[in-house]
Amino acid sequence: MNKNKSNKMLMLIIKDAAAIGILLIVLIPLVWLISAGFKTQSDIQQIPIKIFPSTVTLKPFYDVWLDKTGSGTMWLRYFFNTVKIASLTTLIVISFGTMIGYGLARYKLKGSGIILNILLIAQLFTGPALLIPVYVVIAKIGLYDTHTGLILVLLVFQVPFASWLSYSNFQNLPKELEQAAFLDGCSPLGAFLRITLPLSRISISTVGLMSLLLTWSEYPFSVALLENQRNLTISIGLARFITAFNVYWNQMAAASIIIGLPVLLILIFTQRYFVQGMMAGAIK
Amino acid sequence: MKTKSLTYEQQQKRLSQIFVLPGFFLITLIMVGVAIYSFDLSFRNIELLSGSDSSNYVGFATYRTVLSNTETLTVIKNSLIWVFTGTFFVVFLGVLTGYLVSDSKNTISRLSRAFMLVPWVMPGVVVAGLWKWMYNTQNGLINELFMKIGIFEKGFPFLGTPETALYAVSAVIIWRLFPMFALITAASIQSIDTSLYEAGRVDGINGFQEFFYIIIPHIKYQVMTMGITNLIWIMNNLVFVNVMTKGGPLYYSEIIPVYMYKLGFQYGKLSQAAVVTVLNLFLLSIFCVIYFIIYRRNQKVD
Repeated sequence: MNKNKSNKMLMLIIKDAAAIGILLIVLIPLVWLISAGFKTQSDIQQIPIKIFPSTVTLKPFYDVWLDKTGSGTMWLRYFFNTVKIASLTTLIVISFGTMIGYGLARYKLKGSGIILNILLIAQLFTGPALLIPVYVVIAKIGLYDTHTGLILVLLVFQVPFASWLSYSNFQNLPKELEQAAFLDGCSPLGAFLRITLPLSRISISTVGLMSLLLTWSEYPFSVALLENQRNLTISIGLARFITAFNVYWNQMAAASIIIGLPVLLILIFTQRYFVQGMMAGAIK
Repeated sequence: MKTKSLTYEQQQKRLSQIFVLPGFFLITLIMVGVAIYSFDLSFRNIELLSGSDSSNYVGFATYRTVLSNTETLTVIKNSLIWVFTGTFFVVFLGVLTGYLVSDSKNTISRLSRAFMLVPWVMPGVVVAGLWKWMYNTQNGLINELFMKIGIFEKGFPFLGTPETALYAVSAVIIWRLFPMFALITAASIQSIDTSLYEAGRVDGINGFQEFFYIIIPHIKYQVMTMGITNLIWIMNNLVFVNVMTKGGPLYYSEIIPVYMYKLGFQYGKLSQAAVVTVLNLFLLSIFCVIYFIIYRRNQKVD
């Protein structure tokens, strides 16, 4: 019995140590990045390294985002380009995803199963696998270096996952409410718009936030399909900055903090649903 | 008036068709079209920069050019190392730490779980930049750490050394993915019916037996589907290598997506890039089939 108890103690210590270990592995690089955004240039170059700044300054943020003589004008443009691309993509992905998911969940069409399977497989072909042919096709139809072209491509890659997420959500929603509405003289479309949609607010926003997250951080297609300075997104701006300069780490950090902030906010709201979604996708 | 005479079922069917079919066909059409187009490209020899822009079909000539290039072989070898090292450590560390933090009552575990998605949701470019700096020889955190505990006397260029470059970038993608894997594993372990543990305790099993006979069978399929998903993500990752090493030094850290990007956008050799695309799609399809088989079996078990 005693041995059992000391074993249990040991296990508890191992578990706590592991939890603290992961926490540190995850957080130390991020703390370092965040504090770097508030460091002066000489602080950055200082050896030995200090995790926290010796004098807190907002200059890196000013230099990156606001300085009208330097990079400020560009970065604000990148930022608003990304806001535009991300919000448009998200809106369209939500619409298509909700419609396809609802249709598949509510009525078993001929070939529903095949459609679901194709959408499942399509999710796996995202990313740079099709970069080259996509680039050639987009260039051919005259959409190279336009936001329209990029949005079109992102749509094709995001609607499959959005459809699947909404499909599993709508499946959990009882049909009876809609049927009752129908008996009261409401058309199926009316029932969908007036009853089902309001009830699915949370799942629809989860789809939207996921899409926003993906588009906000998108790299491969943005780098392949955009060229002109005026059209770039923050990801590409930051990538160029990182490969061009090896010294202004505080400015890189200041840019990264602003780019990462919206993502962290989204995470706070979606974490719970996200884990559920991943579990549903993987288990069921 | 005519629609009113249709039954509920019929109306619902019509609505479903209108909702599903146009969007679905549009997406499938574009995806299939793009995939077919990469085959078409791969049988031509389009080189934008050389001026010899012959768009005639050349059969398998471009395939031969690509496959006889020693760089291609290095890239394939690198990609295999990259994919399997990455996936192995993501799954191994993910399951191990997922198990260790799965206690739902432990406050430290809960705190740790709350931050586990952060590396995964951070924009890839931000993570790449952060780690490029972490590895920096002059003022990077990692070299500083190694120097402090006395392993190195001066900074070691992890990203600039042929033997370490690929593994150094690998470590970054592992850092990004394994906490998320652990979080999902922990959630899966928490969903195990507690009566199973009690039954085990009655039978007098120890912690190891509990792990191998109760927990592993329960999370097996979840781990496999997540493992394949992660493998595909790793295989399809462009941003880390592209931002951190650009495939260098020379092409010691060059992997398939980076090679495609370089051939297509830096050298303008679109047909050669298309050949690599086709080979890559072929590899991806194999993994997709595996994913699909596991997914189906998983559904049956449920």
